[in-house]
Order: sequence, then C-alpha cells, then structure tokens
Amino acid sequence: MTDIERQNMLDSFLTGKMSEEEQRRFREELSGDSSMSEDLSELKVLVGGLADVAEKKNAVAGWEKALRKKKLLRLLYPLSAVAACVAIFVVTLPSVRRNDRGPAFRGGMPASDSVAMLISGGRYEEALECIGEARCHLDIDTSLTDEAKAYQTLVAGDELRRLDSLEIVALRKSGDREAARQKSDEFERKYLHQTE
Amino acid sequence: MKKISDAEYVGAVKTEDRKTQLSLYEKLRNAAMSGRRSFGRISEEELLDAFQDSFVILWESIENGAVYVDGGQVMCRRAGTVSEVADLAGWFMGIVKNKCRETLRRSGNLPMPEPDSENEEFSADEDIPARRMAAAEAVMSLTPGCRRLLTMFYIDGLSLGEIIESAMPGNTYTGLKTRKCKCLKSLRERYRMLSRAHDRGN
Repeated sequence: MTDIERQNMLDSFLTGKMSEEEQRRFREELSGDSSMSEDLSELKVLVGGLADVAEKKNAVAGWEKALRKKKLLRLLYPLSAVAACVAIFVVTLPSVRRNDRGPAFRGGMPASDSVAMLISGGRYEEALECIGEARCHLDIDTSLTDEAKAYQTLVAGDELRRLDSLEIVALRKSGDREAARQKSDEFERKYLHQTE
Repeated sequence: MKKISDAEYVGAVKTEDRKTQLSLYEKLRNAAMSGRRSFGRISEEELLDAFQDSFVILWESIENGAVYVDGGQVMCRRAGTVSEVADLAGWFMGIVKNKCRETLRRSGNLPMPEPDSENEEFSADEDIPARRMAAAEAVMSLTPGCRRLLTMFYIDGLSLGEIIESAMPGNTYTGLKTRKCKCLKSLRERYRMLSRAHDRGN
C-alpha cells in the first residue's frame, strides 16, 4: 500500500466515509499494523487540534462582529442626535419664520418704499398689486398665541400702516375715488381711533 | 466601571466566563490595533488576523494550563521553566508581534526570519495532555490557506470536490489533493517537533 493510499484510508475512516464492511476490514488491518495505528492516533490528535482552533476562531469572529456593531452604534448615537436636531429645526423653521417675520421686503427694500416709488412713477395698478402681495406676507397668523400675535403686530404694524396710507393715495391717483374714500374711512377707524 | 485585573481575566478564560473574555478581547484588540505601526508594514486586515490568531493561542495556553494564576499572579510555563507575567497585555503583544512577522515573511516583506524567543512554545500543565496543546500550536503555525483547507476537509467533512466547488474554485482535484497532502505533512512535522519540545520541557 502506498503512502497516499494509506492516507486516503485514514481520511475515509476519520471522516466517516467508510461503509460498515470497509470499517471492519480497516480495523482488522489496523490491529496488525502498529505504524498505521500510530498514524491514526496522531491524526486524531491533529484533527482535535483543528477542531479546537476552528471553534475558538469562530468564537473570536463572533466577538469581532459584536464589537464592530457596538462601535457602529457608538458612532450612530451622536449622528442620530444631530439628525434629530436638524429634523426638528427643519420642521419648526417655517413657523419660526412666520412668527418672526418683519416688514415684507421687495427687491432689497421694504415693500412700502417700492410702492411709493411705483406711485411716484405713475404705475398705480402695479402699486396696488404690490400692496396686496405685501399684505399677504404681513398677515397676522391667527393660529398664534395672543402673545405671539402682539409681537408680530408690533413688528409689522408700522409697515402695514404705511401700506394702508399708500393704498389710499394709489386709489385716488388711479381715479377710483369711491374706493379711496372707503379706505380712508377704514384707515381713520383703524389707526386714528386706536390712538385716541 | 470596575477595573478587571490580569489574574481575573485569566481566571475568566479558564472558567469560560464569556462576558469577561469578550472584555479581554476588546482590551487587547484596542492595544494591538492602536500600535499597528510598531508591527512593521502590515495592513489593518493582516494585523487583525494576526491578533485573532494570537488571541486563540492565548486562549489555548490558558485552557491548557500553560498560562495560569498562582497566588493572584499570572504565571507562564514555557519550555520547562515558569516565569511571572507582569503585564498580560504587554506580554500578549509579543505573541502578536511574532504572528505579524510570520505574516510579513509570507508576503515577502520580511526577508530574514527573526523569531522572538519570548512567548514561543508554551508547556502545558502536566495534568492536561501536552499533545493537545502541541496540536493546537501546530495548527496555529500553518498558513491560513492550509488551515482553511484542512478544517474544511476534516472538521466540516467536505470532500475535495466540494471544497473546490464551494470555496476554492480554480483548483484542480489533483492539485488540491497534493496541496492537502503537503499541508498535512507540514502539520505533522510541526506537531512532532512541538511534542518533542513539550516532552523535553516536562
């Protein structure tokens, strides 16, 4: 029997790939061949060593995986906190901006200045459109608390007053005298009586 | 957090306290990975492999009684002599260093073999068969490819054909058979050499 044949036989026996009949014959051969018997016990010890190491390597690989997961989570905690802050900021930003809005700006200047320029240029229709648009931006948000409304009124109040007076001028200049008179009465009720 | 002493770590490995063992793994891993530059021109992946192999060696040594605790002090039995381990992490780095050298030699980045006599060839406790320890050490000294091939063949029970199909495509049956024979031969030789060393030690 060559060395390779001998090794194949030992391998088949150890890995359980022999039929019962082959196993019986192998055991018989083993009892009469002390060198083969020694080779088998040595191979058994080596396979035991392989199993030992494989088991430990698997455990170590599992720990490595657990550690990487732990490290990833450690990294994700601050990132998720930052993400949460950004999300809160993005969600609340529109209402913050609405609440804190100052005079409506148009082309880098307050809307009332633009309206005044349009009126002085004889562009009354455009001035009236501009007043309407600026008012939309300066509307008081009815969903706000009284305190927030008061704050917004204070910030936008002056600009609204200027826009209202300019509207009367624009209406008069455009020839709509009736509308100008109505607006003038409203203005009087709104601002002059308030101050009294 | 309670500080765990080296003796407690060794005790935990011996008693299979996996939680403390994981904490030891983490501690040694951090030490090894942070000192990468001191191990030569080795990649992070290669260092991690060398570290894991070293950890398995440490684990085997503790399990087999070559590294043990005596009167609260960690001791190491090597080639018949017993020495004190003052700092387990520092001592462990010696094993990692040797493993890194093996890796560098294999990749051709370290031409001259410079085995560190420290931390090589542990002697098992007399009560535990030294053969088991020698077998594990011999397995650890194999190349990763050989270890993988023999593990798949003997432990996973795969035939050579199945190994080619599932894990080593590009190999011929005869080629893989020859390689397996060479790997086994090298394992046997290393095992016999280590067994003789252990016998001399005991």
